[in-house]
Amino acid sequence: MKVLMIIPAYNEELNIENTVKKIIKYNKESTNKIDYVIINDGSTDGTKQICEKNNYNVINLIHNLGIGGAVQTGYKYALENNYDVAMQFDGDGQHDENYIDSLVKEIDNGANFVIGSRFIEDLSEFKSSSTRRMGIKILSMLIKICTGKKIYDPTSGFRAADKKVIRLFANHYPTEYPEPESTTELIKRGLKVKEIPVKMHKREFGESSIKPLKSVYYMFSVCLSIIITSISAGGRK
Amino acid sequence: MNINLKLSLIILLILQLVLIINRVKRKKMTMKYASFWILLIIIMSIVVIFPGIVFKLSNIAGFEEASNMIFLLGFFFLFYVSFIITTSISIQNEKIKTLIQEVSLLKESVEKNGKKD
Repeated sequence: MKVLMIIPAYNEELNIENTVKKIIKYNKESTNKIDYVIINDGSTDGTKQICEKNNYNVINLIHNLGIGGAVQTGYKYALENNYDVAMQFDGDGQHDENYIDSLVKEIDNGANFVIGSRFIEDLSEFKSSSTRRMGIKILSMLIKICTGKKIYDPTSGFRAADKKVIRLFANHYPTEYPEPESTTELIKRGLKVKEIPVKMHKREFGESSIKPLKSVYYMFSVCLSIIITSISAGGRK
Repeated sequence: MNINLKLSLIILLILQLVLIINRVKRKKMTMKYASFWILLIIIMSIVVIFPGIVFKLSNIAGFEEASNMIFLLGFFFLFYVSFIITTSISIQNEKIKTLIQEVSLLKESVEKNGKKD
């Protein structure tokens, strides 16, 4: 199976080398080789220079698009280059390369989409702040109400998609609140979404992209986007 | 209606009309939107010249004061205009996003092929 790792990176000059090293290390230890592509989302720091210096496989977006637009570029790249599996892997060091195989295996077993979850089993030392955890619980509950399926970690950015989902995401991927909304859409379309436990780390350097002041509006918007998606995608099964 | 008020309102409307035509001439506004604003100016001119229409209409609609109707209509109109604008901004954002993605992907593949040669 041809596996592509999509690494969105916005101003990650301190983390990006470690992230790529993780994948190189994975490729050395594993029998299954995976490719990666860094989507440099118009970074204003040295991310671009570091990628070019090390000759990384990178796509430099000519303007900043935000996380949704950057990840979608990765799915477009996966579609163009005919990959069987596309995975999202954050460039900030949160995700653990030891779980790549478990995600790919689930796709192999027939799942269309696999989410690496922090909250299924107690593997993770990093669970983010209690307010954010509560936000995630609310989203999780709302998705359960709208789709009938429980997703424990709807905001996880560690996800794997099969060919069908790659095609879908390349065509349409939400820009603003991508993770919960896209997951809802997949479930509503009747695709097989699976969630497996993974370990996540604290960000190695730098600040996370969600600012606390905006979080109330964020919650309101995400909740609405889940409800609207579940209504509009319902008829298109 | 006071003749001075009438005259100054008409002058204002003419100035606005000149402004719009100028914009179109300098390609700063497309005809699609210009026609919309010009239509509005025509309606406003009719109202300024024959204010009786407004009083009659507000009477029929049941407003106590004609000015209440004008304010309400103006509010609805502005609300609708900004609604249209947010819609068109969203559509444009989507188009720009696709453009940036496709250009970036193309650029990358061109540069990669260039290195091989």
